[in-house]
Amino acid sequence: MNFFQAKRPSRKTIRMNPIIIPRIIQISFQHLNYIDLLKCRYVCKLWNEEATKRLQDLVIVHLNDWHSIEKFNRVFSSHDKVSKFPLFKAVRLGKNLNLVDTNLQISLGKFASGIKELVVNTKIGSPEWRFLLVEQFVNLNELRIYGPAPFQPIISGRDVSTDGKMSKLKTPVASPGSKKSQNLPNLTLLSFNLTNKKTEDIFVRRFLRDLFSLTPNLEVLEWIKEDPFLNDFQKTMFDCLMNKTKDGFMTKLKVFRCPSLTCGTKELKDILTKGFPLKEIEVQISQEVSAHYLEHFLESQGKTLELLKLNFCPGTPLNIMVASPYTNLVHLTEITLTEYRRSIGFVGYLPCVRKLTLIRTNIKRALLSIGWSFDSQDQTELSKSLESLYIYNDYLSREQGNCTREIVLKLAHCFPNLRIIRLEGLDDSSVRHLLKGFNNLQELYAPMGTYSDEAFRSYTDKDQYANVNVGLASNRYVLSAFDATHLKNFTALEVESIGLGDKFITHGIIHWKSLRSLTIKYARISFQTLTRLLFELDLHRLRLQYCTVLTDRVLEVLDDPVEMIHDDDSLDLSHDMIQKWRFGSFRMLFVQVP
Amino acid sequence: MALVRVISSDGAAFLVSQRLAKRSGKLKTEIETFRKSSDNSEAQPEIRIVTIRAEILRLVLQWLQQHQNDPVLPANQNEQDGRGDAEMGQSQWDRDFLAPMDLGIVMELILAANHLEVKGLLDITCKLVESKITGRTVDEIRTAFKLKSDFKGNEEEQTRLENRWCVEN
Repeated sequence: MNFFQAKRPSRKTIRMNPIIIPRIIQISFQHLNYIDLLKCRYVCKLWNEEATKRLQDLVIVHLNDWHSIEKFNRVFSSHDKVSKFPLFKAVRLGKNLNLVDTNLQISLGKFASGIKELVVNTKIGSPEWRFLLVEQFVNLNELRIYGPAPFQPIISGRDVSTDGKMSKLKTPVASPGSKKSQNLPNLTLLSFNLTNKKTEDIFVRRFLRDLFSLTPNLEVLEWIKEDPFLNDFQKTMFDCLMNKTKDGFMTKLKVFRCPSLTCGTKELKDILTKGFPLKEIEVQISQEVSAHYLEHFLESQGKTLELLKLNFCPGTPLNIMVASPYTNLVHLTEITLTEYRRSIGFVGYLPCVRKLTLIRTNIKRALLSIGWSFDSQDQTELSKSLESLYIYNDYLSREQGNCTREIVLKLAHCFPNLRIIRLEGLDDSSVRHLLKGFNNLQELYAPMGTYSDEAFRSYTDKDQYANVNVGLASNRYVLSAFDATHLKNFTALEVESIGLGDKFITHGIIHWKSLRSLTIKYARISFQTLTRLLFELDLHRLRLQYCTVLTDRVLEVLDDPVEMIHDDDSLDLSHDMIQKWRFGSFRMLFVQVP
Repeated sequence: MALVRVISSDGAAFLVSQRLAKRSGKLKTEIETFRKSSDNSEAQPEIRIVTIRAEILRLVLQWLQQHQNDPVLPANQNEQDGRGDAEMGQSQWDRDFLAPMDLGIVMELILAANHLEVKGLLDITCKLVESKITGRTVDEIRTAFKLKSDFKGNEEEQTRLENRWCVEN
């Protein structure tokens, strides 16, 4: 049936094909994965259009250099003949490309209004960028700025003059006429990810002033990299931000992420006391005084806070009281503590914290400080509400290793509702214990072998663990745990260095029918086992990292990385490959070569 | 109990309670329009639906009957919100209800649910469509849904190029 006929609302078409009504296609496509959506684009024009709209949320375009722009032009030159929507929502520009470049503008031009996220390098700082953003990228939601920090006018084909006079001349020409859109009303996220370079203050100031004047509705402000050389820049940023705030700008700031507020406590005070409706903060606590600001903030505004991330400097003085035990943090659902080692006394009443992350932290002390009593029998609010526990310790001292084991043995008792656990540096028997102890466990990330067997043996009780050995013996512990049938909802597992990979899979993992996501690192797996795994389990995601897959066929795939590079750290089997293997509901297969 | 007569395209009349009928957005507006236009408030509304035949209308009413106590979902709910509801709404009864139907009937049911604005039914039927898409080839999809490719010239090749771009990047 011709869909032009069908589109016309006709009362007589009783047997009309519903699958060409856009609304119905939209509902049907809602839950399709990306492979199926790509396929749907071939069916007919209307499906192409609808699938493209859905795909928009999944596709990011990386433009790294001139070659990729040429390729981009080739591919998308006649895009609008088939579909009037761009296939992507986000564009990332490599460090050699400049947003104000004419060629790039021509390439992106017709898609610009459909692009929601833009990642640019810092060469953005030419006088034209501002008008370009306002006039072309009108629907931009997120802007991320990467790269080295100098914001000086760039030298490109058109813009040869680099001195400030020229830009002053240019600015008034473009500004008076375009009164209608002075800023980017949809822009809610601004992220800086800069690397060290000497900055020229005048350009930085002008750039930031212009940038902040574009973003009246900013909700998320991020500063990602930690770099003491950027202190000046950071200070300038805060200056500009606070100036704008005085004018009633940017009063909607909800999320402030700045893991390394290296510049000092004045800025922290500004952020915390200006009355932003903050829901999420990530800051560094380096001095006692900054802890006081935080305490004050938690007491006055803590009721709306949902997420709290604190990075403690290693030299933070002892006995900082971050908040009084009576502070009501009734909406706080997530806490992350980094380098939390020495301070004691954190927050009191935490009725709904669901996720707790501890990074390079003295686990025992951290848990104590948020109100978990190590020995007490009665459960606190935290005990009841906590659902996920993540512990990242990049090294494990003897003391901490034992501490981890001690915690593992008590976890099931103290946090009966835990569903997601990530504990690094666990030995096999602890894993077994975890699997046996929790009935509600859904996801377990337990990279094993974080410490070597020698180290393991050296600090464990010799009698008890004497026969723990490389390979089979230790695997046997875990395998026996995998027989457990009480874990009905167990859906995700990540394991590392599982020694004899095949045996581990065929005897253990393959019986876990509820598994949907599986990550295996540092293992040797035969192709047969892999296929068995894929056919017997209904996996949605399988990630093999640093694994050797013993087969000609897969190795053949791995030898051709150009076709399949997905992102920086993994290889993605191509669409055809996935179809050929008929992986069913499979969403993504990552294979990483050592 | 206030009743309403719903008449299908081929003339079959169904007598249903107004409470049940009002769970369909379309019937609700029709009943309200009838109330406003008629002088006699006691009169029984009669609604003629010219696009739905008796067999399908019966199925829709049957589904409404089964789900009459579900909370009413706003029709213009956005996709993100609709997601959870669609998954939760798929009960065993729904599966048994849809199981014996062939795709043609399901298609008509989708049209009916869309026309009568019955969101829950639309969701579960569309979910069935979705399951017919997953894991099938393009040709199989076209045959199943009786669709023809309407690409002209190199448009299909264009799509292929773009898809490759997606996979590689």
